[in-house]
Amino acid sequence: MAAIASPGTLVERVLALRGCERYGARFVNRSGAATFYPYDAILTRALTAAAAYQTRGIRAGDRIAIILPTSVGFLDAFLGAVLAGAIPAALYPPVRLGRLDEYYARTRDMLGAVGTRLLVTDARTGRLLGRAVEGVSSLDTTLDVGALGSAAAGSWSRPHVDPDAPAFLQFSSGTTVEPKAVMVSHANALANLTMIDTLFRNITDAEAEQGGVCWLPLYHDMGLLGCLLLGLYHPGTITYINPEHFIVQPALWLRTISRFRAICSPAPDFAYGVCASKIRDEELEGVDLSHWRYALNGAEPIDVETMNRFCARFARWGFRPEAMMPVYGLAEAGLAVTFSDPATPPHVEEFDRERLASAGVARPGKGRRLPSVGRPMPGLQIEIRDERDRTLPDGEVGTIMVAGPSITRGYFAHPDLTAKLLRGGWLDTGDLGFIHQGELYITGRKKDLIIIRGRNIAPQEIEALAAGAPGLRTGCIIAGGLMVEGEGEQLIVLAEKDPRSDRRDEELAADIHARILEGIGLEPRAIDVLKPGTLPRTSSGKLRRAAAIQAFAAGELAPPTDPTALRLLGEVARSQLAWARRRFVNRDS
Amino acid sequence: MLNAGKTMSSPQHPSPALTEEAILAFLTAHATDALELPRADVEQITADTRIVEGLRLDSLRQVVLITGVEERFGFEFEPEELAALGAGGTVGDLVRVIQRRAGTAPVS
Repeated sequence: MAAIASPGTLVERVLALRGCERYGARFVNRSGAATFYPYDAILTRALTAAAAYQTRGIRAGDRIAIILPTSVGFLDAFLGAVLAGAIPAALYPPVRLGRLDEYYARTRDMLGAVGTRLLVTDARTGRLLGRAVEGVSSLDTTLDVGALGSAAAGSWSRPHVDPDAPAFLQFSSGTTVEPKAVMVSHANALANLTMIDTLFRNITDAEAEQGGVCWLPLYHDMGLLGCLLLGLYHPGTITYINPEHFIVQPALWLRTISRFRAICSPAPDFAYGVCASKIRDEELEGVDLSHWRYALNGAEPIDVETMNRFCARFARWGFRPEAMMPVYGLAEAGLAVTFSDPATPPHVEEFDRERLASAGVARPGKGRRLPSVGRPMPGLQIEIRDERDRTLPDGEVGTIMVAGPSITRGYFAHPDLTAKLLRGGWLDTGDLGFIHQGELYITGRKKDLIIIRGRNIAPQEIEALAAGAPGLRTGCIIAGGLMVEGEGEQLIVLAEKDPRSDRRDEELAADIHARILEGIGLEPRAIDVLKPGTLPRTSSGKLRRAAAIQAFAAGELAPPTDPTALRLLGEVARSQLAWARRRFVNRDS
Repeated sequence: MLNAGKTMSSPQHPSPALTEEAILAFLTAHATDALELPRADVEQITADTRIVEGLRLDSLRQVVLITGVEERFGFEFEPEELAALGAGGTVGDLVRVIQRRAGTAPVS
């Protein structure tokens, strides 16, 4: 089970699973029933799938899109594609309720953006995808995942695969504006897995059997590389839970960790918050979390209060604060960039808020508590740079740049975006932060990106939905994320009203709210309808998203006489409209 | 109290478990307990309330609502039904789907 030195591609790593009966992939359903597939069986299934792809004309380098729930079928489709030398890209399934038009448009664009030849899905999902695949000229066919089990495994012919070729594509945000897929090469993936595996290098076979628990969606980088591929790479058992089952019953996650005495399970900040606030004591009868050594916390901004609440709440069930591990990463770096010390509780420092905000200087003081996300993974380097690309000293806030063997060669078929992403061998993460006593702290984001519940959303996507509401000024809408302590990152929408419109502000806000909720399944924390000209712009007239959200947070956006949705809090009457209005202001009231 | 409103149709196959009232009672309780809507908000819900917007269903709450209905009424929504309900469907529409489907297919 010790890691073998420098394998060339994921193909070899998957083939190395031959004879592995002790570890495997386990799927737990809603009622807790478990089905275990040893990795040897997973390999046989993947070879069959690879042969099925090949008999359908799939060749090395062809792109295969996968839209499947967490299931053994996902592993068949994904690993089969890897063994065929093809390049899989896992896309997210349709939202369960909500408008499909936006989903179709996004999915169609993503399929087209990477020149998908084959789409693998299941019968239920496939029935909804008709319109998403219309007009994708590269697409040969849509295949039911069941068809991957029908070829003869022996007919697989081993493809030639270059370690620097993409092993898979990871969409970094599902935007209609410009869908972009990170190319994660075999070398990138293996380099990052080797780095992550330093955590597990010294675990026993029994601990590898206890393994990890993953409810993260497998179309998400932390689920795909951080769980699925890591489980194969080490190898160790991964117990999978459907993400929807975690959402409905968060206790299932902790009970599953306890049941299999898992040593590792990662999740984004929001999941720790959901557990702390929603799980009832009686749901945890007999639960023991003392084996959980690595509760990795990443994929979205980490809220100190949420993290502390989780640690305090579950201490009674054996959860140890040193298990909580703030981490930082992104698909463009393979996945992991920094890990905090796995042997100590989270390291939280308090900095002078004023100096941090105004001068970009981190000094111990009052106002802003930040968790350290730790030190660079072995083999990665981090630099903090200013706007002119000069390296900054410790304690100064700038762009986080990363270099090393797991850094992507760029976005698929997007040389323009790749040129912005990579400069002189360094990856521009688009995130802002500083180094303090050798550890990285994240303060914000330079790139316009909203991250809610670990999901990356381009603001343009939200703005396009809002723009459908009649009565707004064209091109005068801003969507952004705002970190609210104790609540995590929240969606804020700022829109200027067309002076010719006779719609009331609260009516407009309700309309925008409905369009975003139905279009993308996110509820804005606040919608502010503004007078024309309120939103800050650059000298060339472009909207300044980050500045606008900051001004909103500081309450400096609208003149005080402006009757915006936010300021109507006091006069809520018991009508449908009043109810609608109130929730833009305070969801807890 | 959740107001059934005037647009509701009566069940095609009335049985004690499937009356409009029983379904609405479940949805009211579910909106309060599982969706955690404030009681005052639940009181505002009528048959004409749009599901996603009216019940404030973000993607997480959508899953909670659907799963709760499936478990309580013993069927699994077809993707097409959900697509229709999500595209501006009302609480009344949901009640009618439940009346039509309840008990028709066991949940896996």
